[in-house]
Amino acid sequence: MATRNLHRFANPARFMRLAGAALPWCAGATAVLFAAGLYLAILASPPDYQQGETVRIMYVHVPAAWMALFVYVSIAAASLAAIVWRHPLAELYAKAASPIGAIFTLLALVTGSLWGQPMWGTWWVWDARLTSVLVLFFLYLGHIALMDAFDDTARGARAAAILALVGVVNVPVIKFSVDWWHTLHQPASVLRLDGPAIHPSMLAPLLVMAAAFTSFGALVVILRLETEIARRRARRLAAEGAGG
Amino acid sequence: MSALVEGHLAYVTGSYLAAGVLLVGLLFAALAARRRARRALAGLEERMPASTKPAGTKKEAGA
Repeated sequence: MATRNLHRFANPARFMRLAGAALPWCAGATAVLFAAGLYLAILASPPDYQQGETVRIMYVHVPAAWMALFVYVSIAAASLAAIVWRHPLAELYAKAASPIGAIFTLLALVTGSLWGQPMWGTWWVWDARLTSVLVLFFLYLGHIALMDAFDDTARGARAAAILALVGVVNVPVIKFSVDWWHTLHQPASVLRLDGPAIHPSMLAPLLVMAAAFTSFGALVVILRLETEIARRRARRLAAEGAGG
Repeated sequence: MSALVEGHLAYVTGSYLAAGVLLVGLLFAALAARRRARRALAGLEERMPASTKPAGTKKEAGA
């Protein structure tokens, strides 16, 4: 049943009709959520009693880090679908989403560093959380490079899918690194079994910014999927033209 | 205005600027790549003889 539902969207033309309809809604939601999120994060939320104004970095850093993980897990799932069911859109999704995940990871690393300097007194430490996120960034770069490393696009996509599946082992390492090892990075304060340990006045902007980042990610994925489908169609037409 | 780049606020400003540059850059790069891909596809379709054009290709490309 799930496989049949998966294949209903395997036709790129059908998917693009749905994506085309979703695109303006996605763009509108992104604009509204970012406007609300930035207002709450910069103007409406209070400074932290220990961190002061520096806490506002969290409203960018944490959603970026969540998206970095979420996008990677979605790429791994798509890679599995591409290998097992040969779902044509799954391969395209993995290719479209990879640079987006890389940008989110880079943003998490940069903003984490900008938070670390005033709070820890250093831009970087080889701490388990920071190092595993850096490994995630390299996995993204490897995935992007492998996709275009072969003349045969199918071989490149397959190699990248295997890398994505092997690299997914890094995701629980990132999530639980703060529990498994003594790290400078603080433990989870939102995604905890006993509920968030963060004041609602700071939780609200964080969640709105997380929703804005999610909507933005979906918007760019749709744009990049449309691009990939157009490129593949052009390649096919060019090949048909050359073949007479 | 100058307070934004003083003390700890400078790190906050830097973080939001970095986010703006990376995310807006990603969005514009995606839009530009889509425009280029659609133009290339439309150009190919125009050069193809009508008899060899796959059905619905033109409509989907502009969707």
